[in-house]
Amino acid sequence: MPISAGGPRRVIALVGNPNSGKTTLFNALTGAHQQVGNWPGVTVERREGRLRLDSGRELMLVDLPGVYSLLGGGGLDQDIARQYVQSGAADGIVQVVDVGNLQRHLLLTHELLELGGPLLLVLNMMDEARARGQLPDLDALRQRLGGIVVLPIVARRGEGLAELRHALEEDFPRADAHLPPLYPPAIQDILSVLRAGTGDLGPLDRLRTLEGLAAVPPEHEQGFREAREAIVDKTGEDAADALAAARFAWAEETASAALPAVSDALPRDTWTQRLDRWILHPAAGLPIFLLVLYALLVSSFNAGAIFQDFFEDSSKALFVHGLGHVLLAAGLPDWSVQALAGGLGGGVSIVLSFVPPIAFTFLFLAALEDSGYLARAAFTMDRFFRRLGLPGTAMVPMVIGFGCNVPAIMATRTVEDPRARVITALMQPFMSCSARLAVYLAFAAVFFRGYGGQVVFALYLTGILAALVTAWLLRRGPLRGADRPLALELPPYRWPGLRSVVLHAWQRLRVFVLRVGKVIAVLGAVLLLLPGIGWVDGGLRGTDIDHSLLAQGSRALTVVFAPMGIGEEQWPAVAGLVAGAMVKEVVIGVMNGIYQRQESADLMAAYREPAIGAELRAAVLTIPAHGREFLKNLTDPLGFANIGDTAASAAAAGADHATLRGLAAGFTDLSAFAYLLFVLLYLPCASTFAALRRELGSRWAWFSMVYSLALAWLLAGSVYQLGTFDRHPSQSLLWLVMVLTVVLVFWWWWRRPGHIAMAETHILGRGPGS
Amino acid sequence: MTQISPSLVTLGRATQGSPVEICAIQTSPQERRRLLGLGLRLGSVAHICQGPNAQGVVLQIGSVRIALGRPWLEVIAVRQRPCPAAPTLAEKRV
Repeated sequence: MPISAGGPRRVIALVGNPNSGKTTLFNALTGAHQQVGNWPGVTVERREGRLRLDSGRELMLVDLPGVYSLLGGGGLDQDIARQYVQSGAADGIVQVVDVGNLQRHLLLTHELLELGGPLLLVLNMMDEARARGQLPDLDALRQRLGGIVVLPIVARRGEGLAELRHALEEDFPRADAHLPPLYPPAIQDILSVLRAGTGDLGPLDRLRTLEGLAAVPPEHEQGFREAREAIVDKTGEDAADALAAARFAWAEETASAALPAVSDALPRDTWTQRLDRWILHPAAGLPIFLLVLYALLVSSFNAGAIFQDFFEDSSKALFVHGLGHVLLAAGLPDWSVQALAGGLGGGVSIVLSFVPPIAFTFLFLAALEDSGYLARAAFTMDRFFRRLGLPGTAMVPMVIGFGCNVPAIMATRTVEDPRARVITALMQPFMSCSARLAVYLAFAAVFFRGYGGQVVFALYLTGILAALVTAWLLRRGPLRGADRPLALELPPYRWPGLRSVVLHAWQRLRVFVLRVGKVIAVLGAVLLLLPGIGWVDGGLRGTDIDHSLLAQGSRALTVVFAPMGIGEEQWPAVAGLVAGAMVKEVVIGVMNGIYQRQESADLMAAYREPAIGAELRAAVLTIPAHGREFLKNLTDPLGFANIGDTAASAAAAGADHATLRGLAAGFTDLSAFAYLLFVLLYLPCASTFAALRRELGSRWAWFSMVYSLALAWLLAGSVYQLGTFDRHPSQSLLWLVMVLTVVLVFWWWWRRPGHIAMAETHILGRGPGS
Repeated sequence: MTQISPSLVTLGRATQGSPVEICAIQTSPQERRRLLGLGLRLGSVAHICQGPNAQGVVLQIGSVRIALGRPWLEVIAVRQRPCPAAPTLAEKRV
């Protein structure tokens, strides 16, 4: 598994248990010089970073997924870590150990010593050990570990990092001949015989096979059978229990040689224990969790909104109007200026407008992760989500999804089980994001006065229901499989380290801007181009919106929306849906543009005479204005308070009077509700699609696209047809029979065993037998 | 109630606040390995910090706190140990 192309640069892998502070150390050593990607073929995050040492030499550090053991029980993360350390791709391994849990972390050390490669042990969180009066005897520990380098550090504060950097200058040693035996003599002898007969297997693979965690290769069946029988004869236990007991005994002896004796009694009351009494309480835990998520929502989206207009307006001034002016001055034709400035520049502007809320979400999430609370939240919610075959960790992304689906999909990384992670990510596009609320508000202002709140609430609930039904279907289709009951370590509560939180959030944000942004920019060039150009006088030219490709295409598409009561005269609403496939925020914006009949607007004026200075000044002024709104909105993060007040609703949605009049003339209450249902459920927006593609791969992203579009069309059409059944019973009956047939065919196709194998092999990144 | 042997009870029947010894774990090798990684193995002595209840149970082994979901309550058998004597006032002041 090569790390990077070419060069004699040494590669060092960081290995450690979850919560050992491994990633904090990685961040402290590499700073911003990191690359985040996926391990080949799977969706587990792969982080590597450059470390320049004092001598000027450069190292490549690879941050392996946190694992308790390399042998079994840990899923995809563990497979990756094991394959990597066995491959010999790293020139040395640094194991990060929480000195407060030395004995347990030494179990992983035992496995690494088994491999026999260069190993350096870093004892992290020495400050906490100091405070407890539990400082280890480093010389005794080195001796017990065969003379390998053992360094004390506090990664969060940077203590001991200079010594670590110094130690990394040279190749660090392997355990020498003085390493005490890793197993009791009886077992050691059996393992030596087995090793001699199975030299083609890696040391860890051999142990996994012996312990029944991997299939026995046919050519070695006899050797493993004899070894297992010999272990039972010698110890009276099966191989797995005997080897585990031997490792625990070794870890216990090694830890007790290095640490003062610790009482077996429950330690005295600590802050962690006192807080957990409330946070994990069966009754109080849930409201506390909801309160924390409310704070996440408010801080992420309301605080993000303070800067959102600044990012959007200033980037529009520079990348749309400014770029358009330069291109026009360079003599490019109108349509290409529209394409490059309005399309690509507009796409960049949209990406940047997402940066503030997403950055705040990532900051808040990283702080929660560092604090130790997320593990508690998973435990609190587990009993509710278990019914759907999902772990409690699935709740966090769903709540974030109410603000924006993109960070919600990225937050599914906190879900450990790969099946559950795919399901949780595919649920996110149904969570009603803030962009969809703008469309609801505009329609509520016209059609649902007096009961707008109930309609919007019903739409939110429908979204949640669609997400839950999707989870249920996936569990009974391609993602069938046994649930993994929750078992997790609850780390002690800690104040999040600022540097670590910022770096963690920055890495995630960079991935969003660079990878998701590319897709948005390209789609932007297509979708923002369509309203500005049309086939006029035998060629593509800049034109008014009525004669644009968008108008021509939307009129043709209205036939598809006929079952939900939308006729050709409502093509602007269809155009809104087409543009909304790019980003849901523009649905109302596009309708505004169309209903105003932009015939009098000069589309190129903003490029000919841009007022960039004034636009930038105005953009800056939005920050204090939105800051005041932030304080006002603390009690209403989703903006429901505007519903019921027509003017306020329209203003919040950004709809002008022409749009409201246009909607009132074209829709009935029922067709408006069907349209809103469609807006809620149809295609994930371009950025959500890009996030799904990145996190789950293209197959699941396209599945989400087709599935949500079909669900939206069938459900919205059925609501309208049922509501107008008495007007055209035969037509409605035909529709309903068609829907039923589609559902039955889908159900048959969905549960075919071939799909399950396909999901196992291609999507989850593992073979059906593993 | 799943009574495994006269002296053993399932974890779901153990009492909060008491130390227990893990005596049997009836699950797949992979899941046993997962528990081993967390420090939970046959013979471990754990303190029950919270539960057992509808959520599951929170155990403390040494200084490590482990949360186990409800399905574990019926597959782990434990033997209850007598509670250690409460710390004296002088010990509390230390």
